[in-house]
Amino acid sequence: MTALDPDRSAEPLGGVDHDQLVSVDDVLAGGDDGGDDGSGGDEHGGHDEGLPKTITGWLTTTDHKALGIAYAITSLIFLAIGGSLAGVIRAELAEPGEQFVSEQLYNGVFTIHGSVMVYLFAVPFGFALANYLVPLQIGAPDLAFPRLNAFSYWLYVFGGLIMLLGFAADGGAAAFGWFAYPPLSGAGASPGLGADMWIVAIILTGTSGTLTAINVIATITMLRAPGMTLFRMPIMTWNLLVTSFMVLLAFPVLSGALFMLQLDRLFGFRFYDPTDGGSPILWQHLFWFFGHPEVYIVALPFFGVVTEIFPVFARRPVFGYKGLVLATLTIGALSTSVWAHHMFVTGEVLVVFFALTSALIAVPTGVKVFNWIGSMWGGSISFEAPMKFSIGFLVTFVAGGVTGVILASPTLDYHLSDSYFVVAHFHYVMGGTVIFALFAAIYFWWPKVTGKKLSERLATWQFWLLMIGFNTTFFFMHFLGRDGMPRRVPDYAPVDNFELWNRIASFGYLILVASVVPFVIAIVKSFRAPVTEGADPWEANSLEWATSSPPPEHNFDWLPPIRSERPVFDLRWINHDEVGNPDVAEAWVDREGIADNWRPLAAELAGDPPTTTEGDQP
Amino acid sequence: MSLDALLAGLDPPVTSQADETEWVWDIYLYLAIGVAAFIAVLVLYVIIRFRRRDGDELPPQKQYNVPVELAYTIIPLLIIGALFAITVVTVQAIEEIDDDPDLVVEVTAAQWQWQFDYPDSGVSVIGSGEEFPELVLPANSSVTFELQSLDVIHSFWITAFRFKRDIIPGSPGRFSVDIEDVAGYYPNAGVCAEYCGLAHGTMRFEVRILETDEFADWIAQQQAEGSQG
Ligand code: HEM
Ligand SMILES: [Cu+2]
Ligand SMILES: [Cu+2]
Repeated sequence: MTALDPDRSAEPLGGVDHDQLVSVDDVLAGGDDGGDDGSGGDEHGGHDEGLPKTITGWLTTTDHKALGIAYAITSLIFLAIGGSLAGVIRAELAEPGEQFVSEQLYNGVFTIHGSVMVYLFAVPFGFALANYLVPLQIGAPDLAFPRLNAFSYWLYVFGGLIMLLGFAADGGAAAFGWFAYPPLSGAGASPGLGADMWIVAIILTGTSGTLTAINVIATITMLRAPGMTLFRMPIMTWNLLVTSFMVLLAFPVLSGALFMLQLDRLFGFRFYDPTDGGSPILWQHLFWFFGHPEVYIVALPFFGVVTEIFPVFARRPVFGYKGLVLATLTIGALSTSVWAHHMFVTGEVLVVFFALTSALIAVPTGVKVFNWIGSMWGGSISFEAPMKFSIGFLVTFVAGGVTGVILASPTLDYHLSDSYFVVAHFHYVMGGTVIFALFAAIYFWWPKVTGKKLSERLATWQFWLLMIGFNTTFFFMHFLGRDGMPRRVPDYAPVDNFELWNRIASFGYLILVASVVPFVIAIVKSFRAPVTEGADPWEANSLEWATSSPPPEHNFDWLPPIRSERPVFDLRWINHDEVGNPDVAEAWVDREGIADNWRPLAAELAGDPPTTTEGDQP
Repeated sequence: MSLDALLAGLDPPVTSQADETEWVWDIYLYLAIGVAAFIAVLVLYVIIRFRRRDGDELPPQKQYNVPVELAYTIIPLLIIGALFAITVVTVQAIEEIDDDPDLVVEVTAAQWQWQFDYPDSGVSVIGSGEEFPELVLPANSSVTFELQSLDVIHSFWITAFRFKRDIIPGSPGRFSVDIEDVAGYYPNAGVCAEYCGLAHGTMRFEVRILETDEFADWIAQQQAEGSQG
């Protein structure tokens, strides 16, 4: 048995006395003189939170936790903006005919809705997770390049503002759809300044993302704590690592393609101009070479979120950890060779090849689904808010996954492409799953970030409203698409049931809006509440739970021994043979004499001293 | 009851290629529903069967089960392989170009109007500001469409064909269909599916399929009108 492959088949423990479990709070308190009482949050109240205290402090911070919070808040603001723009779309489509907005404005609205959601909300929220969690999960004090990190954040903010300001430009915002196909996006068909602003905005946010990816990769490769081997990293960190590599591969291609587009527009270059030897299809190849990895760049961090959550609330290890890592790597690799499934209907790509790669990518994705179910199988599952939202994620993702397999068949895509079926599909996989996992993440890590829990009752309300609202909004769009309603239209033909399905979808939007209310109330209530939570409120597994909530500046003044991918679990069960990794107790004892900066497991620790020190472990 | 009852608005398939698509659709659809239902039931079972109860102990911490992991990798791989085979066979049939069709129609797309030319007879149909143009086709015949765009990318979608093809400026495209014995009027079947700017939403056309002799009459009538005007 190696440390890499711990034997976890031990018998379940009967009648464990909860007091015998080691709590991180007790360990943290152990070294503070007089801080023996590990319960309650008083000792955390006086704790240096490590977050900026002034506005200038926030504006100039390079701290990964502060920037992580800033990323999260900023991207949630963009979610609200994108969601409001979706309201304009749903209002316009609630009835046939044109009611609220002009065609020009409608086109700008769906373009900016899509662009905001993809570039300014979903991807940056992944970076929020990367910022806040990666250093904590690998036992590092910060990202490798803190100032570069701050620079990335501000590039993103300015990029976002420029995109939104497009609505104020002469001629309105960009209105060529989020994938900006030339010649429609060229100077002839889209002359306005709004289009240029859209291009510049995406180059800026793309550059921001590229820099963050470099930062995350450098951090994970260079700053892991002693003992944190690659195969002991939490899946969340693994996914962010793979995501970052995909960003490095994809974003520069997008920036380059956009730069070429801007040269076409401003200086009369002819890269994409068919009237003068240019090639519109070249853009599509470049764009989708970015665009397909992009959807996994959006999704993988959120896959990571639920992979952290399922095991904690089922009290089980991640099922098939290595298979899961392998699946993620396979997805990363395959995702670079599926891009032309977005181009089946052009008739200019080798459909059979791309149909094969696109179908294949379903397999590692399916493996993940079964790993998640496997992590719950045989467990002892409780359904606190993070778990509810994770299960919501799981079912939504499966519903979006099966329609993805349908669309990966060119035979069927020839009918469904560019219809509302596609709109339904990608809102299930990119919209629904992201939003469910996003709230799972917020409910899960909120106690870490603030030291408080959010209301369970309000979370339940939010969950059910979201579940019902989401499916009411998007499910019937499958029917619309199959029936022949094209996407990106402000009005629709008098086909049977078009009116009905559209009206239901627009009604669903109202339920979605209602689902925001309990969340906002929960947040506001939490701001007024006192700090109550200790380091490890969920009895979780990874290192971020081994430090106080909120974590101090530079995160840790103490780390448990890392002998498996669940160091905090191993610590909790250290007094019990056969649970957790037996090497931990040994490492703990070894450490006592050598490192004075690492607090030894002192006698004042609640519960019994480690029984495994008696030398009876294998 | 067929699921398609919910899809009341969709015209029945009118080409032999669309028939191919339809049976592939059925297979994929029922499989998709089956897989989704299977996983939903599995999840439901797990959350009921393994919910936390009073006095629960620490559950078994077994992390790997290689046979199970292999099974849930290989079985999906086999299903995917079968689906892929079906797709390859049908897509190749659908993509086959008929170089000697009964009729050639040249489709010209421009922001935001369609023009249909019948080069064999010199007939040309173009939409007016108020009316969608009508694409008239003969039943029981093979047709090859030749597509070109005068400005941006459009997409020629006839829902009753279960088929669309992008029309990319600078690279004309073609495809062929075999229209079956389905004479009828399909007023909502013609759509521009690729977003093409301001009035993309109104870039539609109607489809009328006539019996072969009626079609000949129609051509003759158009020719007569054309030579007058
Ligand atoms: C708040 C709930 C949301 C609603 C009600 C909504 C609604 C819609 C609708 C109706 C369209 C189709 C517009 C059209 O084709 O005419 C659309 C487009 C789109 N949505 Fe959403 N959406 C929501 C959230 C999201 C999220 C969370 C994402 C991504 C993470 C997203 C990404 C997109 C994209 C990429 C498009 C395509 C834009 C384009 O065609 O250029 N949406 N949305
Ligand atoms: Cu068009
Ligand atoms: Cu169009």
